[in-house]
Parts: sequence; C-alpha cells; structure tokens
Amino acid sequence: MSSEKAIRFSGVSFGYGPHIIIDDVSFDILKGDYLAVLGPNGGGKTTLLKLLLGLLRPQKGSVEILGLPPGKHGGQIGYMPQYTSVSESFPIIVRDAVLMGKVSPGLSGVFGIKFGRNASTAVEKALSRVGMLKYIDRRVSDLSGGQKQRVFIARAIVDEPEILLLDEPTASIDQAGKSSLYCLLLELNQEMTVVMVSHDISVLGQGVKSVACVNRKVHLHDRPVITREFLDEAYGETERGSCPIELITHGDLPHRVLEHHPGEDVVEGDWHD
Amino acid sequence: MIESLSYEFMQNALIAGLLASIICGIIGALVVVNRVVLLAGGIAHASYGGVGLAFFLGLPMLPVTAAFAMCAALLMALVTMHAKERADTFIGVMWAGGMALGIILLDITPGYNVDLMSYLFGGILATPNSDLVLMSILAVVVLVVVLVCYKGFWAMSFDEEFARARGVPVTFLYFVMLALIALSVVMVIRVVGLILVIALLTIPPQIAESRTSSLHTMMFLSIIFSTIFCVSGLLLSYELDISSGATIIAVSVAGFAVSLLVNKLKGRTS
Repeated sequence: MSSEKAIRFSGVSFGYGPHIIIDDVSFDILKGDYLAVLGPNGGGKTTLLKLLLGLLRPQKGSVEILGLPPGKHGGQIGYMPQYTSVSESFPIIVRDAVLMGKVSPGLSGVFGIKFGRNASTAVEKALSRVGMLKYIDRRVSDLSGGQKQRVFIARAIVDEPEILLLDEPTASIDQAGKSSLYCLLLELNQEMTVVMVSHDISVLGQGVKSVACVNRKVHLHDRPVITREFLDEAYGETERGSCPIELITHGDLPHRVLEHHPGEDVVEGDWHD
Repeated sequence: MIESLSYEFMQNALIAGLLASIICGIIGALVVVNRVVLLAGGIAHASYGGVGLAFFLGLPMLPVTAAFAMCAALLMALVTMHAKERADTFIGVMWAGGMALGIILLDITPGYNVDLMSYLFGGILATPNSDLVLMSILAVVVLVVVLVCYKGFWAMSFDEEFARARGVPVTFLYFVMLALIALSVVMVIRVVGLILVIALLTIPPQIAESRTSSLHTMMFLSIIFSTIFCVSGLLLSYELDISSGATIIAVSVAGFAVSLLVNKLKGRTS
C-alpha cells in the first residue's frame, strides 16, 4: 500500500429526515488497500458507498475520492451495484453488458450509439480477466448467479479504474462461486484499490487487508481480524450465549474459528457456554 | 376480405394501426424494460381528465389533452422518484381521479355528449386523414428522440443505478421518457382508445423481450408483432362485424397466451 489517500471522509453525516444513518464519520483509505466494509443490514454500508459515488450528498462534512469531490471522477472508479439493481430479463448479451462500463458521463453518455474505437478490445480484455471471454455472445439472463457477477465485475473494470467499489458482490452466489470470486478480487487488488461492502463476515479470511465496520459510526481496523468488540460495534451488543454470526452453512471444511480478543476473559468471550 | 381494403376508412384504419404500432413498439419496449407499465396506464387513464377539460373549456382537444397528460406524467414522475414506496398508490389515485374528472366535466358541459366508449376502445375505423398526419409526425418525433438518446435510454433501462454512478443524467432521461409516453398515449388514444393503448404498449414488447438479445431488436420485433395484431384484428373485426378495438386486444391477448405457451414448451425441451 502506498501512503497516498484514495478516499477521505471528514466529519460526514447523512440521514433521511430525523433518521440518522451516518453520524459524523471521518476516515481515510490508502491507495492499494483491499477494504471490507462490514456491518448489519440498515447500518449504513450502502449509504456510505452512495456518498462515495456522489449518488447521495452528505448533509455535513465532505467526501473526497482520488482528491476530487464525488461524481467528478470520470472513469477512475469502477462500480458494481447490488445484484438487484439490474433488470432481470433485459435483452442483452455479455459483450454489450460490459460495454455499458464505457458509457461516458453527462450528455455524451446519452447521445448516439457509438462507444469509441477501442471499446471492443477493452471489453474482450476485461472479460478475459474475469474468465468469462467464452461467454461473450451469450445472453446475460442465461448465466448463473456467479457468472453474472463476473460479468458485472468486468463491466466495472472495463474502463481501467483506480478504485473498484462493490456492493454485496457475493449476495446471490453459492459457496464455490464465492471463493473463486474472492480469488479474482485479490488478483484485481494488485492493480487497484478495492472496497467491498458485505454483510458476510466470512470475507475476512479471503485476502482482505483491512476492515471498516459501519453502524452509524465507522471504525477502521487495519488488520482483517474479528474481535468481540468489533462484533459489538458492528452488530450491536451481543447477549451472552448468543452469536451474531450464522454458523450453520453449507461449504467446504475446514471452517474458520477466529481468535479471542487479546486480554479478554475466555469465559466472557465464549458465546456457546 | 380483399374488397374491404378498397374502402378509404379501411385503408386509413390500417395506416393508423401501423403508425400506432411503430409508436407503441418503440415506446412500449422502453415501458416494459423500465417497468413503468403501471405508470403508463396511469397516464393513459388520467389523460381522460384532459379530454373533459378540453370540451368543458371549448378548446381544441389534442393540445389540451397532451398538456394535461404531460402534467400528470410529471407529477407521477416526481412522486415515483421521491416516495418510491407510495408510488403505486399515488398512480392509482391519479388513474381514477383523472377519469372521474373527465366524466364530470363532460357531464356538466352543456349540449355536448361524447361517447365514453370511443375513448375507451377507440374509433380506428373512423380515423380522419388529419389524425394520420399527426400520428406520422409523432412517429417521426419518437423515432428521432429515441435514436438520438439511444445510448442513454439503453444504459438507464439496463441498470439505472450503474448508469447514474457513471454520471449519465438518468433523471433527465426519465423525464424525457415519461414525456414521450404521455405524448404517445394521447396521440394513440384518439385512434385505438386508452385500454388498447396499454395492450399495445405492453403485450408486443413482452412477447419480444424473451426472443431478442438487444433493446433495438426488441423494439423492432415489438413493431412487427403489434402490426400483425392490429392488421389481423382489424380484418377479423370486419369479417365478423364486431368492434375493432376490442378485436385487436383479443388477438393480442391470444398472441400473448401463445407466446407464453411456446416459452414454456421451449423451457421443457432445453
């Protein structure tokens, strides 16, 4: 990681009416980081991402991304929205879906039908990076969940961004698909800053370099570890004997059991006594 | 059947059907992929208030209804954007309210008795030449606007959120789209009635959607399907001496059912 800042939040607050979602948040993310943004549903993860993209404006404070205000970044930011934002039955082939990532901002993204001369080469390159080149002429609606997500990652990186933002990239795919998607993101992280929003704590054994936990406030941890305090911050105080993480899941053995918080009483930290 | 084509009213009806198919094929494809069918239905029905207003004030029907429909569309767009969870309720209210306003205004307009049925199911067999001219102009306008803004509409229809994040002016495009819908609906209502407008806006694109792999071929196929329904419905209604508008709808619905069946059989074999 370099010491240059990719993203800077200073004193940012946002809410709908009296309902505060993000409350006076300040943090920096360095270039080259691979950040997992975790937290409970409704805790403000997606709001944070939308503030970053300029889709929402902060009511207080300021956001800077690559030294510019959000929305002024052109093709420097690759974005993969939540799975549900795509029109399910829309008639489109993989090639054209990736080409969407070349749409330019402003009115030049509205007029005409052309996409610039090298667009088709860029599309093929992006698809081969995500391992989907052989599906280039298939209909998107005929692909599996994991394949679709790869296509949407290709769409996000087709313009060779410096930062890749992903909103719940593994929400709709099975365990095997998840693992290979995480491998792909780790590879991409060698060339770009990756910020991934997820509600799934299992992302933490997958090469993530740091963790932001979001629940009205944002707490940045520069190591991908989970502590009891972390869980309390992210998911609220857990009652003794209850565990905030869904432990029963299908998948490959072995599963990961994460360490106790250093110095914490063993009995205190044991949720299953 | 051939001799029916020698009558001028039949020729006009066929041309009107073709023009309505071009307009509805292009706009309908946008309506279906953007999932604004309810909104389009709301605009069509609310515009009846414009018809009533035009007769009540003694003003020319077309511009008044068009303006009224545009205002209704604008209002619905604002609500859809700012209170998404209340949008369908609001559209329902405007849908019914607009129609009621139209009926009341027509009731209290002295000495004028407009046939409500002709606005519901249209009078395609009574299309005057002047309407054909207006519809041709609108068809050209729709074609040009959609062609000029094709890339934007394409991006918005596929993934609005991504398009917005890329800096595409989605809000602007959304309003342009709704204005086009309002204009198309009003023009086509004169000929085919407001119930048929919804049928033509939704059924052909719905059939086309699963049979294409791009938005522009979807539009093209919608026009083809729509033309087939209009022409066969017209000829059938002439042969059987039944209402043309309702026959066109019946043929479209039958086509829709066949399409669903074919999709189902295809899904079973593959």
